[in-house]
Amino acid sequence: MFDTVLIANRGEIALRVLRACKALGLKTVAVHSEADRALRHVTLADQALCIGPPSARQSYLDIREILLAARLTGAGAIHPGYGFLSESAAFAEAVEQAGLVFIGPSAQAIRRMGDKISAKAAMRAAGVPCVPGSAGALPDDLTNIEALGAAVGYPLIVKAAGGGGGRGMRIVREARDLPQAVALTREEAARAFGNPEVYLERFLAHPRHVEIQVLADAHGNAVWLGERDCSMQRRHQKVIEESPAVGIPREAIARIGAQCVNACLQIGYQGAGTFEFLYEDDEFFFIEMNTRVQVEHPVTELVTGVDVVREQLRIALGERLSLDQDQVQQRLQMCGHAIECRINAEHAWRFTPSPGVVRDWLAPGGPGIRVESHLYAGYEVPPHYDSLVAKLLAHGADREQAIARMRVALEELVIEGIDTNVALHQDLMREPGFVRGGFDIHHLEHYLAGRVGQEARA
Amino acid sequence: MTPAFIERLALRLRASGITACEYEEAGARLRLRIADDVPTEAHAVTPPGAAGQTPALLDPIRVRATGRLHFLHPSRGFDIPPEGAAVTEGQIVGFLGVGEVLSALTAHRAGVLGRRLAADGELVGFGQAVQELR
Repeated sequence: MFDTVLIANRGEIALRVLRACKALGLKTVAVHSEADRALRHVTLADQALCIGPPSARQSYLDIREILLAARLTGAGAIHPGYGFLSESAAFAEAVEQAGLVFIGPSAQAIRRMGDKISAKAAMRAAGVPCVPGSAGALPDDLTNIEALGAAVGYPLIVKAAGGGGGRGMRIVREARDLPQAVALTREEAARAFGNPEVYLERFLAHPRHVEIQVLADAHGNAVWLGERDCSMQRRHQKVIEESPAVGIPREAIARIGAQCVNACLQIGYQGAGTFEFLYEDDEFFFIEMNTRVQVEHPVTELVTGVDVVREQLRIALGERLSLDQDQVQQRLQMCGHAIECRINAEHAWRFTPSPGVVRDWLAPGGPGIRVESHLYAGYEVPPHYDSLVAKLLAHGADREQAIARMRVALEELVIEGIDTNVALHQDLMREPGFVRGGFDIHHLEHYLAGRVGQEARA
Repeated sequence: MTPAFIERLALRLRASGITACEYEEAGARLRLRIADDVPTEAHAVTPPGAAGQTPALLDPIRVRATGRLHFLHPSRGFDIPPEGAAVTEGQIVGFLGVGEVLSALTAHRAGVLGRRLAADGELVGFGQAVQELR
């Protein structure tokens, strides 16, 4: 097996992976760009190697350089973190072909789940509910497309098979707009994703985003680790995540969780993964699977006590999952409520990125508070990458306590020198819709629009 | 055409005493020249300056690839200029090795070599300063 893990990522997730490796007695290699020499995990790793200039394309996305670094440092496995190459089937394949272990699912599984049409087909075959829509890619013939549209009903949404993160989709409210919407989405999809295939499905007007975390090993064991409600979003980017999801019956969650486990076993999935669903009118509808560790995985860790990254590493080492579904269920009944606020280096209300030197950094503490961050006083947030600089988590016996702890933690948190969205989180922790819970994915956009309206009237 | 292929070809040239060859295949052309005094590739980059640093540290010789640094040619004798030696632009001052493939590390300008900032055999990364150049 392997005793050295190359961490092919940066920022807080690289530090998170490094800590998990060290706790398991594994050696670490940090590969980084020129802009990231001062990252905390680079200092803490057993070996560090600069692999390119700041541009992600020439560093964190450069498969050849990463594999070369693995060869030169003697790393036996590569952890891709999230983002960058984490869901690249080509990267996973190249790692496998180099005789190394990719800490994640097989290239085949990534490829299958990365294509929305094949992913939905696999989910339907495994009994996981999907949004009603076309069975596969839309045909060329317009009459057939119009017939499919009529069968699904309006409003509907046309989506690119290779899309994701809110890109490559178009809402169609009337039948007469369908031909043009299909043509435009195909054109955009070909340009943006290199795959012109599109499909259509029912448009859900007020869904919540609820996802199921799974783990599966190479010995035919798989578990689901509860759900996360990630409905607090802006432009399809999650801002706050929590678990459990308010107001959804536990039996319904257990049913969908079991279906996800079944799907993992049917497709031969290994590693950590997340099944994302839209939830509306008491029904779950599968939207996509993320074949990697998620940004928000600590929410699940707080309510289950399972170290997701440690499990990823153990699975890659060929070991069995450290717990079964019964043990997970027992923990879920006892483990309270967790909330995560994503702290971004951006203006709280204008959302403009704010790179620069962090003059002061003081992390909050106290019962139930967890901080995942690579920040320190004097660190310079580079302008080249994602603006996420910290994840602040609060855990409590119930949601009320978790929110109360989060409010205190946000007050305590000191980040000087750069703009952050802490003020937005402070507002949201007292916003009636959030405090009530059970809001849909449009809630934050409406809240922000209302705030702008109030300011204009004042 | 892979690095392994180029490496095999270089070894054959060396073994047979041939000093140069050209090779072509679809979309790629390779020119190999076996010589002690001709740099195969310039690896030095000029880094951004920083106030308060000496000129040598301002503009040291840096590698711009990942590999193992050699101040001695691993398979045969080669005169690498020592610390304190005057060098011309493009002169070989070391080698960067990936497996059996070596690329020349050259001075990016004329000057006098200062202290070596990395050890022989050390793994070096992109942009790393390896020797002062005054």
